[in-house]
Amino acid sequence: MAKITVRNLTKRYGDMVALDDVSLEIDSGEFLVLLGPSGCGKTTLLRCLAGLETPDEGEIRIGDDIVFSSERKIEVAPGKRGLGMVFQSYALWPHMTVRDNLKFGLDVLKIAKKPSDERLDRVLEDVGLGALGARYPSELSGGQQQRVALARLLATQPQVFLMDEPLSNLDARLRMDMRVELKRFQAETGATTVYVTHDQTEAMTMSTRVVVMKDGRILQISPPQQLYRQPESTFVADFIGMPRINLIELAADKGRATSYSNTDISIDLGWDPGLERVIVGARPEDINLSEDRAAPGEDYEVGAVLPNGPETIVQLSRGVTSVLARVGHDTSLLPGQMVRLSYRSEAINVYDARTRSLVTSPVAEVAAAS
Amino acid sequence: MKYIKTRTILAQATALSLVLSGAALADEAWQKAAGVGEYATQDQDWAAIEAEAKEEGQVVVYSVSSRIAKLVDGFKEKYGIDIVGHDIPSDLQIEKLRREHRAGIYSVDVLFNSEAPLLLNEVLPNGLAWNFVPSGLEGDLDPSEMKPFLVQRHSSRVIYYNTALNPDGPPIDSLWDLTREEWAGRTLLPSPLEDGLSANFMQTILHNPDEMAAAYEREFGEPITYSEDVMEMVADSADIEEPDASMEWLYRFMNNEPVFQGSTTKIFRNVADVNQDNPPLGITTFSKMRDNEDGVYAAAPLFDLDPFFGVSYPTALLMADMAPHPNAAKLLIRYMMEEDGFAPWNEPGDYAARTSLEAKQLEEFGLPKFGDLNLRAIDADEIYYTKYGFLALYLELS
Amino acid sequence: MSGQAAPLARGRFQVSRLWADPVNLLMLILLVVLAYLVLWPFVQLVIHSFTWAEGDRRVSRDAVPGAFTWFHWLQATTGPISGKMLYGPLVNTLKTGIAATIIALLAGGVLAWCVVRSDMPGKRWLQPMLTLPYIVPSFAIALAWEAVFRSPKVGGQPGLYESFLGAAPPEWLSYGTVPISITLAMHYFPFAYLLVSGALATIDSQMEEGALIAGAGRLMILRRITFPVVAPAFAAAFILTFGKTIGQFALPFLLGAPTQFHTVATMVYANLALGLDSMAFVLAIILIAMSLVSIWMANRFVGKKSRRFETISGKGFRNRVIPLGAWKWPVFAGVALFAFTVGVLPLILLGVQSVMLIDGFYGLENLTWHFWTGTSNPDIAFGEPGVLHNSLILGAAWNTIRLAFISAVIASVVGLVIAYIVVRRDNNPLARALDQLAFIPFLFPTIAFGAMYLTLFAEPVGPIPALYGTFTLLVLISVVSRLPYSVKTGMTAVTQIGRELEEAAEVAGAGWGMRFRRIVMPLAGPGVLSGMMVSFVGVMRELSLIILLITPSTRVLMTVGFGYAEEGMTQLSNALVLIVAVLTIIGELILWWIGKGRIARLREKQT
Repeated sequence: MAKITVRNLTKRYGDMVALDDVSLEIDSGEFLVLLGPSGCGKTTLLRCLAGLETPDEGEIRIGDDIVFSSERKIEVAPGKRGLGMVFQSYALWPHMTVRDNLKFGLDVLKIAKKPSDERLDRVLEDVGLGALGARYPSELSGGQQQRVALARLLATQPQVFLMDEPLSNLDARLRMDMRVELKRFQAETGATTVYVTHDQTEAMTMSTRVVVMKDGRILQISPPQQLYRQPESTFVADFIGMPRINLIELAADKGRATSYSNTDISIDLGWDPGLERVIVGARPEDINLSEDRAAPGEDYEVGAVLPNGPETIVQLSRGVTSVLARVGHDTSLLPGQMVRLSYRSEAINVYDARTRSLVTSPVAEVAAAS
Repeated sequence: MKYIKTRTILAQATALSLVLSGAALADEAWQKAAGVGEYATQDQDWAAIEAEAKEEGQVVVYSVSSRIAKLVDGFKEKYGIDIVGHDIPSDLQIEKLRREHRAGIYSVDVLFNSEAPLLLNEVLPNGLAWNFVPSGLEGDLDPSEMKPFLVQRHSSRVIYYNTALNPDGPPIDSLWDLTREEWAGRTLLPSPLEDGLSANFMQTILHNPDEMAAAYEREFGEPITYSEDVMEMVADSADIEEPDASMEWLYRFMNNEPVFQGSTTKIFRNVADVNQDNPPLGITTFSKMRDNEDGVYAAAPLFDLDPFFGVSYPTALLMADMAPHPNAAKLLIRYMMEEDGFAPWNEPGDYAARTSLEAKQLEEFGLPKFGDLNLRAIDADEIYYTKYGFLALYLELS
Repeated sequence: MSGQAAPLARGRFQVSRLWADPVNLLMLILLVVLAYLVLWPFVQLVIHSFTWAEGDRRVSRDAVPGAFTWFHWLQATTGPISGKMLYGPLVNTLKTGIAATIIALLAGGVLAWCVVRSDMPGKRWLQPMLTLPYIVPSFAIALAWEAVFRSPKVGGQPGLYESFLGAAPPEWLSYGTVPISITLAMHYFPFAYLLVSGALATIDSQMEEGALIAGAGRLMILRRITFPVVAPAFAAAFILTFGKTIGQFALPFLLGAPTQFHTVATMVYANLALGLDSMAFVLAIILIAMSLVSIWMANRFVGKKSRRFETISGKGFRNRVIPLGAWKWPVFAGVALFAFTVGVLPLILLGVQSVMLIDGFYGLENLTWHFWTGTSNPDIAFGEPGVLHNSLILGAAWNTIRLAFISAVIASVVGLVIAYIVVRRDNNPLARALDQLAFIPFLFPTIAFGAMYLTLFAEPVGPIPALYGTFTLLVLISVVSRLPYSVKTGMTAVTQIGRELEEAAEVAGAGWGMRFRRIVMPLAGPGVLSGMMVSFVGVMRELSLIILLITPSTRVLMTVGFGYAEEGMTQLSNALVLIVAVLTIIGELILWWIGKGRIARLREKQT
């Protein structure tokens, strides 16, 4: 029972607005990821939830409790919000053993020795640190330290997990393993989790929903698939996905409602957005390449071929327009070669060049509605 | 509004005056209990004093003389009371006493002090200490030695020379000799800036210009002439109208590179040390003779000095205001006036104020009577009120 | 709610939060207390300098104690005695201060270079020896100097110089500017040495090598790379050394008084002894002004706006040492001889003197342990028993250790709390004010600071009792005078504790008190403990600061020792100085033990 509601939250540091009228609802048991470039306000939002920062305006509810309200002058101390937090640096207390690090929170809760000991044993066992309780944090590897941080969060059995880039200090392989672990614990405990990261893979793989933020505002809140397929703005489109989405600005062709072009290329959207200028967003995988000169599309020149394990990224250009395409690892394309290129128009997102926000096709609207 | 304000001020003023009068009342109660000031009585019940003193258990003394330490065992034996003696120069005693008193800290019982100018003009008038004269001394003391304060002994600042290295007798015979070239850089004295008694010595010379003028003539065979700097100083000064022989002496003396030493003992030793080639002269305490030691220290005072032998000053015994051990204080004061208690100061050069004790001293040491010595006594009031003028003069001439 | 009402509500809301936070409450309390202990005394000092004092009735018959007057300022600046009272001592203070500072900076700089940048052998044991002079009480060096260069003018036993060379030392070598400057420099050069070493250690050889590759000559490297790095260290050393020297009382007093050589500091003391308080306060204010001007000048020199110099802390990376070649051993011999002369020889001299029955008389038959272990003997030293049997000295020793311990503990804890507030509330202007307030005592030359407290606690004010003559007052002034250092130590310690460590505890529900106790204190512990030791040692050998406040019942070893020195009881004062030196060295060893090898770094932060 820990639904989190954030209403009209604003936080300023001097002239800088870190959070600008942010509202958000997080369902109980949800794994919500806050994603965005550095300085977007995601960490500030998390810290406001934790109570480590005091917002200037707005309201935060956790479960049934108002933990912060500027209007009602309520501010509940972090320790009384029923949440646990994993810090980017883990913030393990270096002068305490692993066990004492876990025990601290239980001491604060004034839990009797016996149940406390039992719980510590269980948690340590759970995270695979059963044998390391007497060690000091400095005697542990990075991954083990991470587990201690996690165990410390689990020990107090909070209803809400807050995690501030918890995996960013681990190497890539360990990070993979820990993602699985984190998901497991979150699923087992059913705790509402708010997770800050700038790593989109992490966001995509772990979340039930992703919140993309920029300049203290929320740009989009969506489940990961939708975020990838239907970014609501060119910023989100550009931010999500690796390699980056191809964003090409085109003008409407005179007399042909669905066809747009620039000096180099022309694309038929298959529907009429009714705009003079659009930006089309095509993911690299939404581009078809063919060495067959008779295939549909236009001729592009291959600029660079970048093999990357299971896939290969190809950079192509026509005139000054340059695009990236994703092809299989078995490609035989060579730089300098000419290929036929076509866009999978059903996968292309169209943005209003002026507002830079998504324009939905009637077909998609129908699909979404059904 | 205005009414409230007035009332607040009134209340505060009342509170303040209560505090003040509270302190005054406490002081008055103490005086009454201690039997000093207005409450001083002729008949002192020494049995009662002794009994109460034993209750008090100890007595704290600020003493100008380190020899207070020698009383500790005897007093303890006789009365079972501890003397806590603090060896502090007279002026510093008063400085500390004044500050402690203002701070409401009352830790000292007895002052053993030689700074008569300050005692007369600050300590007694401001009620920092009280005169207490033990009964039974009438007749043995001059009235001036019982009032305004009790005098235990008379000490003097005189000039010492090294007898081992001057087998033919004193190397000089006049204060004016100290201004001669051959004694340049060879007279030791405590700095008048740090040592009140040294300043008193100088001031007393300044108070006797005629004698100094006569001595000059005797020494140099011609009437005194004044240096340009002295004339200039007089011309610049608003207070001084004409130069005199004492100023001239001070000027010449200060420009003859006197050497300043922190303690009179150090001066005595440096003069008296037999293991040196060219011993200096030193202005120090008369009673330092006692420190002479065969083969180590040998020095004697210059009795025949023109125009006078030295400067004498009384050493007083007073009871500190609000003394925590008033009865023990009385007992100690009486003890120090008695033969036993005077013993540490029963030295050649220190003259007991009590005629009976002095008589014994004369017999023992073979020294002239105090009254027969060619000493000039300090003029306490004059010194007190000309202190700053002297300092100014001193600083300007040096 | 209307748009206009909202900001008002927010304002109130924040005010109420401000009070709810225990740290804010603590900050306000500390601000008020420190303002009373740091700023108010200065205001009092200024007020008193414009007021007739009680003793002034001797000065002028017009004096009305307590009334306003320009008299003292006029007398000090334009009166007939101004030359002797102010300008002469001022010139002397400047002469000795500047000379001592220059010597100290030169010696410290050269030694630092030898130890840090050259391949001189024996660095490991030379390093601690080079800091020894600062550990030893300042007037020990004056006493040792006098033992050697005593002038025959003062009579008595000749000094060592005369005994060995057969001729009297020239007078300028016995008393006055030269010996005072040299002994002050001997006492204070470790500042420059430690600070410059620290700065030199931060020069990455690669910087220099880079410049070499770029074709720069050695001189250019020195000018463009080495100098800019060490310049702030030199400036800091300048401020410290100059500021300390002008506030020094005992040393110039012992080596200047015989020839009536006065500095402003000794004049403050003399005036207070004469009961001319207001005049003393005028001089104390002038002393403070000198200290401020020196800091201002040093700041300008370095071209920094910042009022304090962040010392560049050495990261300990290896920097290339410069081979001395054939000069290796001569340089070693030179440095070793210097270290021995300034660090060890004075102690040996004092030790030897303390076992001589008659001061200055060198002969086996003259040796005695009387001044250490003897009981009262009326024929020796007025019957003063040896230091180990002397109740006065034992009492003073107890007072000393008590004072040093209590002050060090309080200064460190308060310093840590202030440091915590300053670091953790760095966006709060009040926290910055607190930081600056805690730094101010650094600006007061010690004797002037003592003079301030003399006025401040002279009589009860409202609920605050008069403290003159109490042990509490000594603790108070010792704590406040150590605050600039302990706050600095605390800040270093707190800065190293990641904010998240505390936040983690906060999220776990620990209140501020628990966090401070269980997270901040243990983690800052080692650093603060070393700082505590430094304070302990500093308070133990402090004299100028408390000499004006000492009363017979609150004596400490240093004042008793100084008293003996003044009285000419050389052996006893030497024995006492040695005791203080030994206690200090023990303290230093504990410090060394606490933070093995961190001593130099700590010092650097401390000072």
